[in-house]
Amino acid sequence: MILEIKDLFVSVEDIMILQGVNLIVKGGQTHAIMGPNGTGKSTLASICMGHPKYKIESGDILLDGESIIDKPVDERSRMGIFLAMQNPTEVPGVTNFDFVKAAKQTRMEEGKHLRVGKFILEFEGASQDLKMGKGLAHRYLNQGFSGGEKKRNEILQMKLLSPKVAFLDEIDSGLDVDALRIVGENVTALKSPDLGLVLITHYQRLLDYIVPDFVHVMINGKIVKTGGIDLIEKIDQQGYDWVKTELGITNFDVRKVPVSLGTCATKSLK
Amino acid sequence: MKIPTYLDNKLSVIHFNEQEIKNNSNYELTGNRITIHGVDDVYLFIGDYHESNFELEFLSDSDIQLYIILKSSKPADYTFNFNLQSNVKLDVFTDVRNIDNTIVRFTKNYHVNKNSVLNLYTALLNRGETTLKEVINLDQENAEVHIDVLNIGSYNDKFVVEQDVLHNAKSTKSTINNSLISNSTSTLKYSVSGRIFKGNEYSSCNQVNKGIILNEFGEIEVVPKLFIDEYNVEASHGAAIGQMDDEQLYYLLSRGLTEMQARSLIISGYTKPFINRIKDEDIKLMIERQILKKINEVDIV
Repeated sequence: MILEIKDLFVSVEDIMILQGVNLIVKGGQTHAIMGPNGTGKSTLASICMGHPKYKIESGDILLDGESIIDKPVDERSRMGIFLAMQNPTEVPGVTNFDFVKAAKQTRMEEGKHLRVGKFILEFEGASQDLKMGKGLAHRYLNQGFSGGEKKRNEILQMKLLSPKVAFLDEIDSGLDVDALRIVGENVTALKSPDLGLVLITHYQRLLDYIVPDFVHVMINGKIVKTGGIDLIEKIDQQGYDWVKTELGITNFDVRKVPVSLGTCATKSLK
Repeated sequence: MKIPTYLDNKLSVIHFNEQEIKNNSNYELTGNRITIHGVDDVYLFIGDYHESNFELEFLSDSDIQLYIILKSSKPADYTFNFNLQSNVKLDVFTDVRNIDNTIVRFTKNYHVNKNSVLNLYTALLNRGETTLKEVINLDQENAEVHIDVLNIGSYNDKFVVEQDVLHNAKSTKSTINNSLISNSTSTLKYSVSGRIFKGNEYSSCNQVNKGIILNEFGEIEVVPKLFIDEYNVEASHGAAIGQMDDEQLYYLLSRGLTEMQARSLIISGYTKPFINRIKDEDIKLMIERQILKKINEVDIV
């Protein structure tokens, strides 16, 4: 597996967020992307998944040599891209089991059906590994879940869907120490030559459990520095100012993009 | 009118079919008046019956699951008057079917007395024009009503529903939960009222109305109303109507479901809580099939 991001420029609502990102992720590698708030880390994960809010202005994303930028979200997922989301969406009335089963079924060859009995055991096993408690299968998707449960549920889906490349977008936020360890151990157990991992995080603590091969610093929509785990320690101690000083970045600007929260519920809509 | 075969193996079935009444139950039937008691599952089939008024009396301390199956091939206008004596627990499942887009009107009046609990589950999955007027009188202390409606409109279906809960005594409780789906050019119009009159303190009156409009031509209109004339009570109301949530869709797509599969799953999530409340497996299966049919009738993408 090889994911190549080539000179990628991405905008949202006419504001350029990514400004020439280059990254190569190979199977078996773990990349950590760090950086101050508002520099485009989550945008990078979302655009790889195909979120319709973002627009690619130029550049390309290739999975195993094939461009995916014109492919819809679902097809990218079936090709092997996975995004563990920062804020997993609640879907009332849809049980976890029905959802993951449907997702798993989409990966089966045409005419083949999932062996439900075997899949139940897989689901229960993954649920136990992540200490999700009994009854997860019948709970509605992310509804009433704590922040930590939502994040662990993302990892459960990742385990069961066996992606080729997984972006974990701030998977450590909202996790207490024990939950972080559980997530870290489970993700580490999934490491294999068939899986490329991209971790987006602000903190060293996640990277204590999932040790990255490469650490990238993103500022102003670009990867400005790449190094090894020694970079994490320096960032943890000194923040990002030294990176800016070293690279002469003076125009750093945390983008506060106005975001529509939608409208209030209406009584009538025609 | 053909009587559904799944009723053949039920113990207490009363048919009002065209010109005849068939009482396969132990309950007293005088004209269109039925007196029900004890603990039982009772099935009432009404198929193109020539008369329109039904009286149902539930004696004290009874615990009844009542299934009303309405089937019409011509315009129908039925009125049901229910009286629950004290300490009654009654679940009423109503399934409306009309053939060839006929016009169906039905009115249901309920009187709920001391310590009685009424649960109403109504599936409006039929075609054509339907008018439902439901008036629930909570007449004595600790009377309760809990209403769940699942209404799916497709093509040019028209539904007009009026729900009115009257808290006529202290310490009475009501909840209303309407789940509405509109597609094609169907229109669903709801007027939902809760009234707590002066002196009826410690009462609670809550309603939730949710609606999904699946395309730009459908219409859902909900007017939630509360008329509260007493201070020491609890009351809430609301209506959330809109198109399918884009973030929910994106989430499901990001796991590989196609848009059609994702939309179907979101709709099934909407209908499932209602289905899960139906206790009779045959009726549950019938309603599940009908929901599937209605959903397949609509253009969900």
